[in-house]
Amino acid sequence: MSKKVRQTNTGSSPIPSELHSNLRGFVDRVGGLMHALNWLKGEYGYIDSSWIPTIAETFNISQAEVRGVISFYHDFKLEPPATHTIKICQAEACQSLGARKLTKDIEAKFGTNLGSRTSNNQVELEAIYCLGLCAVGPSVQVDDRLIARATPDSISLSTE
Amino acid sequence: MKLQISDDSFARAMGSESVEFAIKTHGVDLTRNGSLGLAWLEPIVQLLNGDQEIVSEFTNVEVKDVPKIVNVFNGDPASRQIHASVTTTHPFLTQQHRLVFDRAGVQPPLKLPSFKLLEDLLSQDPNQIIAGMETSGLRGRGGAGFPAFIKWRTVADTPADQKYVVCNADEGDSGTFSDRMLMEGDPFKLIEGMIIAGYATGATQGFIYLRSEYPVAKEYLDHALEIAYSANLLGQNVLNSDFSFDIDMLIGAGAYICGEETSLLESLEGKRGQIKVKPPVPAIAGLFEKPTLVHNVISLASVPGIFEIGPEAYAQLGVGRSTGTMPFQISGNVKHGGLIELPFGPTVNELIYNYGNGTLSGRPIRTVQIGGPLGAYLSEAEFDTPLTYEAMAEIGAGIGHGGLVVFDDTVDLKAQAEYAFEFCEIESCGKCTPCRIGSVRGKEALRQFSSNNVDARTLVVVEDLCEVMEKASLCQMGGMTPIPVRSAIQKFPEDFISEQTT
Repeated sequence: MSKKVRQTNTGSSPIPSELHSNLRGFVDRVGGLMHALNWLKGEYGYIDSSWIPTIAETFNISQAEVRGVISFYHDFKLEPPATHTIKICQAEACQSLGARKLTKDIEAKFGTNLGSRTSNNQVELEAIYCLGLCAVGPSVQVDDRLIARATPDSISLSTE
Repeated sequence: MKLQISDDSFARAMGSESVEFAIKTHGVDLTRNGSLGLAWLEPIVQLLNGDQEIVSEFTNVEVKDVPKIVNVFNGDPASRQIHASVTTTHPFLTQQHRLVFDRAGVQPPLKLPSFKLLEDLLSQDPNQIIAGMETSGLRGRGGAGFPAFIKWRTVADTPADQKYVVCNADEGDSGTFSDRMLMEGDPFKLIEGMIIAGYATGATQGFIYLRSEYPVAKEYLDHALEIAYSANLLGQNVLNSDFSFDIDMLIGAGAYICGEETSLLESLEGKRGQIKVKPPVPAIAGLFEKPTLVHNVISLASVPGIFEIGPEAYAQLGVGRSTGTMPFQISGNVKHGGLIELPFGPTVNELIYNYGNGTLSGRPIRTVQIGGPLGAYLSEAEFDTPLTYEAMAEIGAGIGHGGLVVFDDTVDLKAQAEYAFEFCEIESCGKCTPCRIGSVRGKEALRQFSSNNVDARTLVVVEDLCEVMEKASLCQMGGMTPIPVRSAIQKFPEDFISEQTT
């Protein structure tokens, strides 16, 4: 994916000096790199590969180490997210209430598969393993919105 | 009179935010409270007289119910009677014994409770507190059930210039939500437990490692920590004692394995959450190789209750070496899902039928998975087993984090066994071969059969993989994946019909 597409998706990408000063505050904190990567995820939705040298330099560690941490965690992604992310719980409690079928129905409704996104980059379907809503499953998260007792009809992209 | 709405992840997922918004558009203000754990009734709106007396109550509230609620609020005494409280008299709640969750859903989560007990403990000899922990018999509520006081004593007795208390709030097991509910419903209980643990063990720095899937818990903890600092509950000279204690919070990044303590500590140091070989145990060499007390949320939140009622009284609750109360969680295909705190000892049957009221689908219950994704699938004959560490071990199961996931008779145990391997594949940290490769091979072996017609040789291969994973994995991720797999095969052989027998 080109740099240009990323920028249109997520706003402007920080320049290295900006990035460095934003991340510097995390360096002395315990778990600093995790805090920094979480901050980037929150701010930009992803972590651009081109930022890795600056992150490494800021923390005075190797780029390999930064990449190693990013690649370990499901939340840290090197690609910008789609406009909307629908996370569908795939864990047992939701399975017992039909999460497997629900997943298929949501895939059909939005025209893409779990782990993929629509070609217009509007919707991305992601597997998630437990939102802690197991007593009122199946559970789905649309962007920041939690949805219990989810049905294909209750999954919409608008907030109201 | 005031209106109050439940506010936790359950309530929000069931629509509390739009209800709250709708009520406010009528010019009526309302306060937020935690959830009582009667999840199927959420969201709940209460009309209160004073701070706690429930005059009227509305459950499963939808936006269309709002005008009715506003009318009752605006003073039609007769209608108040009609909408009497459901929760306060509901046997689901009245039969519980709430010690950890005594305040959750009753007092607003961010209202500072009394810290008289804490003040008193901070003037005691730390060894006396550890002795109290020993007397209480508290065992780790995160899954392993290890006696808590041994960890406390080890940390206290290991000389070091810095010690830590780490709260494992990476509650990733499907079917569990007690940590989340505690953090959202009574965050000060956890903070208090951490301070007591710090004081007793000589740790001055605490960390909460919270999973990223719990944004509402983060919201509440952020506020609670801020309030705790301004109330001098945290920081220099806690409550004007000689003891200083800080708590910082780190948000995880979607790795189930970080619930394993060595992996969690690596992640907390800002690294890949890869597990480490034990020994040394974290109590001797944990975070930055310093003595570290790692406990899950409920273990730490159980501590204030222990000293509130007294360690001896606490030890009287429960059965044998399973002392105290356990917040059980019933979920999945169940009519009344939620949180049930009881002394150890109720049977699975009691929880799923008396509390859970059977399946949501109305079909018969076929199996219950207990203790999360690494827990056993129970057969109906095992439902009369009491929920104690010992009785569960006897049938090859474990209480784990106290989650019971109910399945009706449409469940396909072959698919569940396959999923157990798949989950292990997705979440394995990759450090050891049995877990990394065994999970993939196990999934593939079962997946090659599209229906319940598994070749007998395949089951031999699966059992072989299970044996290697169980005995040779470095941690419980690989080591316990065989539990759901084997229990599914052994107790539900009809779902794995071998070609040779058909």
